[in-house]
Amino acid sequence: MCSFGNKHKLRGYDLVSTYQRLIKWLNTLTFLTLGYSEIFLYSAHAQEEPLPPVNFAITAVAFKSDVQMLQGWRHYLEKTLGRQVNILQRSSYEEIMHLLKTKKADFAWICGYPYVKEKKNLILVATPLYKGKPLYHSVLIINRNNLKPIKNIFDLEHSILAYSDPLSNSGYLYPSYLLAKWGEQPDQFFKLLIRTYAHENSIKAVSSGLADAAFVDSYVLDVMRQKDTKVTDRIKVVTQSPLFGFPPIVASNSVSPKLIKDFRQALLKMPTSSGGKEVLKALVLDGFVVPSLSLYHSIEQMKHFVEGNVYQ
Amino acid sequence: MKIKSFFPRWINHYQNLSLKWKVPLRSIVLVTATAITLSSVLIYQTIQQMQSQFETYAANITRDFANALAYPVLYRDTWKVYEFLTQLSNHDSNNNNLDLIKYKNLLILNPDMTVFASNHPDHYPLLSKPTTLPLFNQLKQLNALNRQVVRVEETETSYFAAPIVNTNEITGYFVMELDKTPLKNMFYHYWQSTLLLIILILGLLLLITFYWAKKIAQPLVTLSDCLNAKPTNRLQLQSSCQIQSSQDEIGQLIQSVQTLLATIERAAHFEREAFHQERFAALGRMAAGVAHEVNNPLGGMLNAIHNYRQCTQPNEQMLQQTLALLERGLKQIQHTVSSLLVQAKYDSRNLTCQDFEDVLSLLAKDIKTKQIKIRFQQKCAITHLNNLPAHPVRQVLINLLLNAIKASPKSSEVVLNIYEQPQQLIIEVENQGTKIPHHQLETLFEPDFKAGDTKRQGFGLWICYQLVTQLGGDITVTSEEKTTFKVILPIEEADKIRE
Repeated sequence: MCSFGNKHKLRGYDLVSTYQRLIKWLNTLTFLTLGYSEIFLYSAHAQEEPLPPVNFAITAVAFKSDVQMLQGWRHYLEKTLGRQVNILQRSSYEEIMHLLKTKKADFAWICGYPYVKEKKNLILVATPLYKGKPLYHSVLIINRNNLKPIKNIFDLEHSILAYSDPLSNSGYLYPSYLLAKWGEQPDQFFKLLIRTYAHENSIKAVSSGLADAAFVDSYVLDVMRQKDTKVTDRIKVVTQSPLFGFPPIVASNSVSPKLIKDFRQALLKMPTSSGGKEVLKALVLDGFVVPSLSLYHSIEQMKHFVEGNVYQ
Repeated sequence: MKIKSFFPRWINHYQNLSLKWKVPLRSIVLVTATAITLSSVLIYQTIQQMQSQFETYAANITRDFANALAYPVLYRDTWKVYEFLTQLSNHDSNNNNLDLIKYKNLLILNPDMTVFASNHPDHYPLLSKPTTLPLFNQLKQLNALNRQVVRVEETETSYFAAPIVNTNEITGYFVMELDKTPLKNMFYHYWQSTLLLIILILGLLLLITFYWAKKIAQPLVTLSDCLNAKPTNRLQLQSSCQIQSSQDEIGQLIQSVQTLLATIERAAHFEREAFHQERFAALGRMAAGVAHEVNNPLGGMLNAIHNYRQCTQPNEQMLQQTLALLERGLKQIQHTVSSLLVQAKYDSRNLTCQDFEDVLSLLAKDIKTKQIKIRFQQKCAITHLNNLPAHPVRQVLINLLLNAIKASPKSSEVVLNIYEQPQQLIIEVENQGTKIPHHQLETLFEPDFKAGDTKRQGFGLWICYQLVTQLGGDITVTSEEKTTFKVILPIEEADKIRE
C-alpha cells in the first residue's frame, strides 16, 4: 500500500525523506477518504520492472458500484494486462471527464453524451453488449400510483423530475432534447429537478414518490427489476426512446496505442475467460464489442440540437 | 357515637382482634404502605428523569441533524438529503443504542415552509405545505441565532424541530416525528420489572415483619392469657405465665401485676379477718341480746319461784299467780326464741299480682292511722311471678311496708315499686323518713332485741333478710334523702327453693 516509499531508494536527505513521508501520508489519506476505490497491489513482476499503473475511472451513474465486482474486474484486468490497475470511482461524469482531461485516468466508462462532447480527445475502446447488442433505451417512468394521464414528457409540466447526472444521455440529454424540440428547457418546464447521481436512485426517487417521473437507462431498469422488485413494482414505464449507443469505455488520447489495444483485447476476451465471465455476470452484460463511430451519432445530434448547433 | 357510625362493621371486628394478629397486621400494612409509597415515588421520579433525558437527547439529535444537513440543504441537494433521511429512519431497527428513537417522519422544510425533502414523500410531497404538522405554526418562532429546538407532544408522537442555519441565515427547518411507543414500552418494562422486584422484596420483608411483629406481640398475648386465667395469687401467676423476665414494659407490667396480686392477697386476707371479726361481733351482739331477753323473764320467773317458796302456807291463789307469772315469762322467752327461728316453710301457692293488693289491704289500718299515701307503681305485666312462692314474698313485703310506715313521718308518701328484670323480680320500698346513720346501716339486718326502743328496728328486717337469702335473693338499703329497700329475687331459682 505504501507504494511510493519503495520507489525512492535515496537515503540521508531529510528533504527526500520528508517528501516520502508526505507522499505516504497523502497516499494513506487518499486511501482512507476513497475507501477501497483505489487499491494498490504489486505483483512480483511489477517490483522487478515496474510498469506505470493503468487508471480506469468509472461512475456509479449507470451501474451499481459493487466493490466485490470491481475487485474482480480489477483482478481480471491486472492478470490480463500484467500490470497494476487502479479503479477510480467518482460520483459524476464531470469528475470522470476531468480525470481524463488531466491524464489522471487512462481509461473510463462514460456515457455516450460526455463521449460525444469530448470525442476529439477520446478514443473509443469498447462498448458493452447488453442483450447481445451495444444498444439501450432511455425510459420514462412514473409512480404506479400516479393517476394523471401521462403519456409523454409533455404531460409532466410542473412536475418533479429526477435525473441521474447532467451529462447522462438517457437521464438528461434525451429529455432536454425532447423539450428543446418544443422550445422548452428543463429548468422552466419542470417544477423541480432532482439530481440523484445514479439511474438506480432515479428509479428509487420515483418509486418512493419523491419525484413524479424520471428518464432512466433501460439497462439499469432491467437489472433492477431482477434484483429489487420491491422498488420496481411501484413504478410504471410510460414511454421509451429510440435505441442509443450503450455507454462506451473510452481512453484518453494520451494513452499509448499498445495499451489501448491490450485493454480492448482484455475487455473483448472477457466472455471467454473465467474471471471475466463472472464480472460480466455481475454486470448483467454479455460482453464487449468494438463499436463503429456511427453508434453515437444520434446522441451527437441530440447534443447539437440541445446546444443550439443544429446540423443534420 | 357519630364517629363510630362512620366505621364499617369490620373496624369493630378489627378492634376486638387479638394483638397476636393486630400487631403483625398493622406492621404488614405499614411495611406495604411504605413500600408502595417509596416505589411509586421512585418509579415516578425515574420515569420523569427518563422522559426528560429522552427529550434532551431527542432535542440534541434534532439540532445535530439540522447542523449535519446544513450544506446539502444549502446546495439544494434533495437526493442527498432524502437519502440521509431514509437511511436515518431505516437505521433505527438495527442499532440497539437507538432503540428508544423510532422515527416516523423526517422532514426538511424550505424557509417558505414548503417541503424540501422527507423520508416519506408520499406523506409529504415535495414543495407542498405541511400545514397539518402540529408544530407548523411554531416554526416561524425559531430563530437562527439561538438555534432553539421546538417540541410538541401528542399521545403517540413527539414532534421536534430545529432550524437549519448557515451563517446566521435560516436555510430550512428540520422536523422530526418520533414514535413514542418504544419509550412507552420501556416505561412499561421498567415499571413491570421494578414492580416484580418490589413484590419479591416485599414478600420477604412481610415474612420477616410478620415473624417479628408476632414476636413483639407474643409476651403481651401470653400475659393476657395468664391474666384471663384469673390468677388469685402470685404462685398461680408464676405457674401459668412462662414469660421471659425482662426490664422492658412487659417485664414491668408483670411486676406490677405481681405487686397488685400481693396487695389483693393481703386485702383478701384482711377482708376475711374483718368478716370473721364482724361475724363474731354480730354473734356476740346477738348472744348478748338473746341472753338479755331470756335473762329478764328468767329473773322474774326465778323471783316468783323464790317468793312462792318463801311463803309458808302457799294458797291456791298464790300458786295460780306464780304459775301465771312463770307462764308469761316462758312465753316471753318462747317469743324471743321463735323470733330467731325464721323458717321459710312455704305452702305451694305461687305469687300472683293479687298478693300485692292483699298486702296493702292487710296494712290498711296502719296506713290510715298514720295518714300515709301509698304509691304503688306495679306494672303487672310481670310474667314470671308464678315461679315465686306467695307466702315468703308476702311476708317480706309486709315487713318492709310496716317498717316504711313506721319510719315515715305523718302524711308522707311511701312508694312501692315492683318490676321485672331479666330473670329477676325487683321490689323497691321507699319512704321519706329520716336518714339512717351510716353505722346503723351496717347492722340494720341483724335481729334487735331491744324492741321496746321505738328507734330500733326489731326483728322485721332480720326476718326479711333471712327470707330473701333463703330465696336466693339479695336485699340492700340506701338512705340519703329517702330511704329505699331493694329486694332482688331470682325468678328461675325460686323453683329449686320450693323443692
